[in-house]
Amino acid sequence: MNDILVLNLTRFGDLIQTTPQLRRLRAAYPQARITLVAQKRFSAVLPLMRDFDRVKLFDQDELYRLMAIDDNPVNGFAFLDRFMSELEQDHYDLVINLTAGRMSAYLVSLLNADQVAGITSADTGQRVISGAWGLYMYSFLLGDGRRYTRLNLVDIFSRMGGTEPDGMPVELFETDAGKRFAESFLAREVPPGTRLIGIQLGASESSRCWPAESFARLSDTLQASGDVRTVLLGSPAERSLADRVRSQMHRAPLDAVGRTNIEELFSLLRRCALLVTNDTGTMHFAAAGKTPVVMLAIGPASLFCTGPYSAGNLALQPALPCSPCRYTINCPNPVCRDMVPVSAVHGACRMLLGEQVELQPTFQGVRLYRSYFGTDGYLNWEALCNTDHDHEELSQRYTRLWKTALVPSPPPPGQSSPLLPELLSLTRQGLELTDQIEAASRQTPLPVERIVSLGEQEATVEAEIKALGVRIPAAAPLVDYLTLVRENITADEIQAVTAQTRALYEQGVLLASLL
Amino acid sequence: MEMWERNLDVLARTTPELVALLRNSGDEKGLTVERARNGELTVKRDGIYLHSSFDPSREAAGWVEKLGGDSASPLTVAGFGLGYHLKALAEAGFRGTFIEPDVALFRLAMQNLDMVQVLERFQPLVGLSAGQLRRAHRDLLAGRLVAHPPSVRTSPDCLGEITNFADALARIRQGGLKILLVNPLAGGSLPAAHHCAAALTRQGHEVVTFAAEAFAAGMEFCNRYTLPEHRQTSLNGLETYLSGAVELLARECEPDLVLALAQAPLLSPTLQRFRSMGIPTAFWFVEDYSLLPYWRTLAADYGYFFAIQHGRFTEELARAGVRHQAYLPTAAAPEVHLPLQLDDAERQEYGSPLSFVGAGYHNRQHFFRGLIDYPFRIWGSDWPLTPPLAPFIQRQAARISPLDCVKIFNASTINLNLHSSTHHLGIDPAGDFVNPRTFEIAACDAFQLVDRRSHMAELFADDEMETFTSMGELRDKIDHYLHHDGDRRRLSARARNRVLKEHTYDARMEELLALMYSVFPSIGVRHRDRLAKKEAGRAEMQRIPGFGDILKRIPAGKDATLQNICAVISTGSGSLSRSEKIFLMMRNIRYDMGDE
Repeated sequence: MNDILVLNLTRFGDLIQTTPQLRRLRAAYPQARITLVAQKRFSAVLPLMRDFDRVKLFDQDELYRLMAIDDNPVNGFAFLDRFMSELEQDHYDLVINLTAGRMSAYLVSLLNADQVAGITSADTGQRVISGAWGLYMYSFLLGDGRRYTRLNLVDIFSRMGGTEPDGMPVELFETDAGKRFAESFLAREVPPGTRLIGIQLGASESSRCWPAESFARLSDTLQASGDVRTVLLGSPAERSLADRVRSQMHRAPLDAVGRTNIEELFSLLRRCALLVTNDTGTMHFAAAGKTPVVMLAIGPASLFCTGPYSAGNLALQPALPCSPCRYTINCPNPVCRDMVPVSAVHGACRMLLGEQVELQPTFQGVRLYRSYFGTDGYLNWEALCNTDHDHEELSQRYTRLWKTALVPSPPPPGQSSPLLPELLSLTRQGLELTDQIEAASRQTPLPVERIVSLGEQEATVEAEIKALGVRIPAAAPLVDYLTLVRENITADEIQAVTAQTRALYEQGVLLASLL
Repeated sequence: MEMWERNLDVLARTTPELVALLRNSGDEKGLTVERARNGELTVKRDGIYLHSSFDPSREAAGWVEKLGGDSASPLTVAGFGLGYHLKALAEAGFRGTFIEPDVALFRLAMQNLDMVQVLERFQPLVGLSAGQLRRAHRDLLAGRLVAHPPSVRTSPDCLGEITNFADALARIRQGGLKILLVNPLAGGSLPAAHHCAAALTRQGHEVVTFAAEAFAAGMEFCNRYTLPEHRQTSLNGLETYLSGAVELLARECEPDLVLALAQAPLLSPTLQRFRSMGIPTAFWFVEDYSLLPYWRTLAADYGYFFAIQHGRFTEELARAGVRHQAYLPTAAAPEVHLPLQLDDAERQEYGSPLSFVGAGYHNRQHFFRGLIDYPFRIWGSDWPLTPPLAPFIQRQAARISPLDCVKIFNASTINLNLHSSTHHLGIDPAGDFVNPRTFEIAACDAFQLVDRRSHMAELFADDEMETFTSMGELRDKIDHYLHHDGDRRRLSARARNRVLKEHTYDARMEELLALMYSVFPSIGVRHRDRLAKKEAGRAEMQRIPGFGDILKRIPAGKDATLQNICAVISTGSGSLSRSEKIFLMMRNIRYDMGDE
């Protein structure tokens, strides 16, 4: 492995979540040159990151400008052509695409890498998701399986790139400028012996936000103890939100909203005793600074998938059956925002500050989890209270399944009693039918009628599997996965299609038998 | 007088109506007739010589020599004067048309000079206003037009405007303007906006539409408040938001001009910012200014105001501070409003000896009570289902779709067209503008009886449109036309020809754009720059490997926009080229960045 390209065109938080991936790639392939492709808009975090050799910045804003204003698509084309030509100058042994969506798929396909992990495009333009872990990730992002996943995206990224989780958190490295700012800020604003608690008010979407007035009350409650100062954190875009929250407080917090650059924010966070936050990029900065986090998992935010990737954090999730909701849901009645009481968040803060807290009634109506690294190196969350035992059990069962089955050498199909015997039976039927189609397609002359008849039977099995996913919610993650595997079949010759369909059922049998 | 009569005889062969006009016209006060040094007649208008005071014929010959060009292609001359330059042109073998707004001047020439050869070779357009010329002779103006400079100088309102217009018309016929079209949220001007977009696109311009109709539900929501002040506050908020959103779109697409239809959600601050950004704005107010006075607060902020009324409204607009305004009547869209072959079932469903399509305005409800002894069908919304009209009202007064309207026009023997009024008991005796229905029915080759409007005469000739001014007259005409198929067909055919020639959205949009182009130099600058960039872009496209193939697949007449390019790239069948994949990257970029 000489040349590896990691494509991550998403935000600050996602880039921070790439750091374990880069670290593990560096450890696995110390001689390889690692190229990171990131958005120019979020490049400010790159000086804090390590374990890549060069970076290629994609100026999305400039491309938008060219596309929005200019009548001539050639200018946008020329821009992308130049960008691609730079990337195409090198041959990559491995390209890991950590960006969802078709644009990145076409980009990756143009690189003609030896090995691709994540989404790419076939020559014909169809979307192809390369690798079992990539398929798993997209199956729960696109379907309903996210509610059952206990795997953090960081670990999935690792597995997509062929490396194993190492039990270490996301990491960033402080700069001198950031350090100077933070030390001067503390010397100026925070009396010795006072603990600083960071509060991040906003989030990328309003559906993920705890109410502003709750933040105000929390800050007041925290500062009432005397040895605590709160500091509001956020980007300039969150200025008006911060002003609104401040106007509702009785004890003024420190206010750093819009007054820190990325390096300064990180250094300041490192010096906080803890951070209270929605699902935000700031949360990942805190995790990288080894600052404990109280995460408010509101709306579609999933603490398991995108929670802070470090040990010892607490996450609060409303005890609602719909939580976390699907990304695509436009909830008409987002009660979850109001279901996490200030007293519960305050309780979590006290726990992280080392105080003894009675779980009941402090966390009534709220599920409480604490993060830790398992012995296998994966991040996990311990259910502390108000969690649904059956749901937890099923989720853990699925987590064990994916960890066991989606590896290069999975065990043979299990013999003991599976959780979903109906699914196992259907996948076995599918396997049998594709074996028969495969055999028939080798005959001369081709027994067309028989193949058509077998194909119809196989289509019935497929439909029944899909129906099962709807009928039995516990089957949904597996059915979503198998559905995506099917969508990934790009062959058009009968024998190749049959071979890929057979492999699908083979994997289906394995997964259904191991669950 | 012998010359006068001889000239008139020749003129009568081609333009008899002009002979009558000349015989009845008086002397123009601003004209001063003098003898030139060579003894020929010359004339001054408002103190400016229209011909040489030394030797008019020699001057004219020199002018023609300088003009040069091919005498075989027809020529339009703006300005007649005493016709010396026309005589020189005729002698040099030219033929075509001349334009002279001043009837008295033309009369003077006809009385004093031999115009036989001129009249044999040139068609006169005399005594027409700039507006009439623009509407009725667009193609002529877009052809080879030469200006007689002193005539143009002394006639800025007509010849000056027309020559500028002609120049602008020739340029906009190249297509390639980028127009931000702001639709209203709802109402009668919304279909007009859609027709404008279609016409502009057909003419090769790029139309970026702010489809405010997507927010119609928002407006309905605001209207649900019980208290009027709450309703108004809520509507104001929506309008402020939409106005800001239009500005954002303009900043993104950088149009050459903004065109807003009546009721478009544009507020003064936004219009003022467009002005400071150098983007000219046009407003086509396709409403009755006396009924809807909101124009008053906005009119001066628009760069150009287009109205369906003139006369008093022209003065009101000038008083309101409007610098550029023009009369631009409504129109038909012949791709929608067209003759249809209906089957028996459709004739049964939509047809009637007498039909009316339109909302149940006060004057209509009252007036139609006088027609209940006819086999009459009334279509449209807002009709009370009460006697005596209830039995005539179709579909429980539901709104009628545009396609159904066209079917009704086609299936009915007589289409009644009564302009709406909120306070008259029938016909508005002072009604001026002509409603879209008039043009739409005519475009369908359908027959209509329409109430007389003061603007009607300049849009249709008497033998093209049958009108009425009272119930008695209407009933007489219904009785006549119900039983005279040939008369109906002759009138409707002539009306349709007129509409197709002059009263389409294509014609209106050309006129609007050329007027804007002629008064706002920034449009020309941007347009030239855009065309040059497009040309350069095409050349650059040809150099990109594989691009030529993609371009060839784009249907003729369509620009190589990203949308059109991606439309011809098909995934799932055969390998995509590198260029194709890059275009697909561009198309998909918004999805990846979470923007869509």
